[in-house]
Order: sequence, then structure tokens, then C-alpha cells
Amino acid sequence: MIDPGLDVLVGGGLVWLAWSLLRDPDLVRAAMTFIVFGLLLALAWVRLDAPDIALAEAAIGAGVTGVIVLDAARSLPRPPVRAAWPAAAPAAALAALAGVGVAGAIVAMPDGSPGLAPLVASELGETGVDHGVTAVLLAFRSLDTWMEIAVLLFALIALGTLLRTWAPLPSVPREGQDPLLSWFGRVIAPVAVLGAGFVLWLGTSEPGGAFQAGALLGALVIVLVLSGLASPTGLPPGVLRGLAGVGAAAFVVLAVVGALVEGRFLRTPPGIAGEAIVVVEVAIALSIGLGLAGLALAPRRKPR
Amino acid sequence: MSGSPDEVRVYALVAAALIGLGLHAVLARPHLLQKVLGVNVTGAGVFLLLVAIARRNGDDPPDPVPHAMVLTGIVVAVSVTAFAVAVIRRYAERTGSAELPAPEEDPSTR
Repeated sequence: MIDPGLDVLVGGGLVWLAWSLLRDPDLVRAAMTFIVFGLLLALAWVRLDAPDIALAEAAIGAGVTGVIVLDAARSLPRPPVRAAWPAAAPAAALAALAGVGVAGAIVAMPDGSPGLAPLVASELGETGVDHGVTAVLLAFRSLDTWMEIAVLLFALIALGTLLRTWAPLPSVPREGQDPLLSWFGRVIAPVAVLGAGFVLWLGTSEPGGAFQAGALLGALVIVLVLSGLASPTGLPPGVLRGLAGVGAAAFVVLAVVGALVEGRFLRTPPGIAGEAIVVVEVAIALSIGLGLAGLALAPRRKPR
Repeated sequence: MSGSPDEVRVYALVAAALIGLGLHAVLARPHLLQKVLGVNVTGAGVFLLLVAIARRNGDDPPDPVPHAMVLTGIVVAVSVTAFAVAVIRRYAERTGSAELPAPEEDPSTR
């Protein structure tokens, strides 16, 4: 249903929420507004026919980022002493110039351009999957996805080095202290695991795939720890990092196999391309899930 | 939901506004967490721009390449946010404040 009024509402809401959260002296409230902003952004993705991104934005952009920012807002010294630096008028001018420049470029764009969509559609058959975004992520631009998993791992390792002298956040409530959260954790666990597997499998032909499945798994781990059903220090850090590294390892295997069998780095043998992609996606989902949970729960782990 | 040019333009202009707002927060807000929020809002604006541009096909399915880029970008953005928050936390522990001194007060800029 085409309803331009809805787009104006969503877009206006996004701008208003962003303006409001960036000038809010109460950082906890700003963090909560940021989570709402992320959810409204997920609606914008749906309006722009990007369901894969909508799934990921709601879980990762609003959810995991929201947890990180909310934790920070609660534990950092607050509130800001003044609203903005007085000498920052040039900054406002620069920002306005950037915004106006982008807006000018947008208005000057010619209408309707196919982009790379026809190229993707014509090469889709060789990849073994039927969904364009999955094919781009796992076949055409698999190097980018590999590097992104590496970035996630680097962030985890960097957090680990900074953790050594942290005072951890107040201890997680033991199971039973918050009955609603414990009940929710128990009920949602099998649903989330099943849902993640389903979304991953679905990604080969419909919106879905490794990122969204990984986000579900990560969210599940966060809920389990926050409800006291699992301990953040339960697994030895080596095991956690090892599991998080499974995604990168899968890419290394794929790259080597591709080089040996097909003569080209990261090229999957066409016969088993579909199956190889699903295997790599499982590894990626595991990496992303544990990586995201690790990023969000890091402040709660006791320093060594 | 076909990508009518007006719909695309609405979101592209919203993206421009978000980029401007986020940039201003990064440059002018004193509290470090506000700067991080500004980076995230700018990122959201850039992603919105990419997806709006991908939607310019008219009645055809949108271009999947920018979608893949935005998916990758979301994960990178959360990694950067987590690391930035960790560094801010260390800075706050060391100096007792999570704000940078204003440019006119900073002795190192003399």
C-alpha cells in the first residue's frame, strides 16, 4: 500500500527523535530514546523494501547498541555540565553545510536507476542461493563479510584488554530475584533457538540469513545473562573467544578450499555452492551471536 | 510498495537531516557518550541514504548490494560503539569526568 503520509510521519519521527536524544542532558533518557529511534528506523527499512535490514536493525541496531549505550549512561558520570561548547558555532555551520550538501545531491539525482540489481539477478543462478542479499553477502562480496567478522573479533579482543582494570557493573540478579525476567528467559530460549535456525535456513530464498539468526542468538544470550539464568563468567574466556572465532575460521577454510579446488581465493565449487554457503552461514551466525553478546555483556564480567 | 520517487526523496532528505544532526553532536556536545550517540545517528543517516538510493528501481526489486553494505555496516557500527564506550569508561575512571574540556578551556590548545 503506497501511503506517502506514512513515510512523512516515519521520517519526521526519526528526525525529531534524533534531535531530541542528542540534546537531552539526561543520558539514560537519551539512551532509551535512541532505542525507540532504532525501532522506528526498522519501520523505515520495511517501508523501503529492506526486510533483511529491518530484522537486523531491530535486534542489533536498536537492541544490542541500546544495551551498550544504556549501560554506559547508567555508569558514567553525568549529566553534562553544559549543553554545547560555546565555541562550537563553526561546528553547527559545518554540520548544516554537510546536511544541505547531501540534500542538494539527493534532489539533483536522476530518477530511477537500476544500479547493480540486474547484474546480481543475472549471476544469481551460479551462487546456489535464491535471495539477492544473501548472495551478495556470502558469494559476491564474501570478502567484506569475512572482514566484518574480523572487526567484530577485534572489538571483542580490544574490550578484553580494557577489561582488566574495570569495576564491573552491579552483579546480575540471581535467578528468581526478578520473576518476570526469569520466566521470560525460560520461555524465550527454545523459541529463539528455533527461530534463529529457521531464519538462517530461510535466508537462502527469502529475507533472513546468518546476520539475523546471529542477532537472535546474541539477544538470547543477553536475556539469559540479564535474567540470572546464565552466568556471564560461566564459560572460560578462551572457550567464548574460540566459539566467536568459528565464523572467521570457516571463512579461512572456504578460502583455502576455494583456492585449491577452483584455483581462486574464496571461490566455492559450483556444485556444492549452496550447501557450502549454509555451512559458512551457521558458523557466521554463531560468531555474530556470541560476538554481539560478548560486546554487550563485557562490562558485567569480573576483571581478571 | 513500489519505490515512488517522492517516497525515496522523503527518506533521502531525512537521511541528510540525520547526518547533519549527528555531525553537530559529535563536534559540539561535550559529553563523550553524546558524541558516540551522534556517530550512531550519523551512521543511521548514511544507511538510510544508501537504502533510499537502492530503492530507485521503480517497480523492480531494490538493488541488493547497498542492502548488504548496510547490514555489514550495522555490525561494524555496534563493534565501534562497544569499543568507544569501553575507552570512555577508562577515561572516566582515570580523570573522573566523561567530558572533554571545551576548546577555549583546554590548556593543551594554547
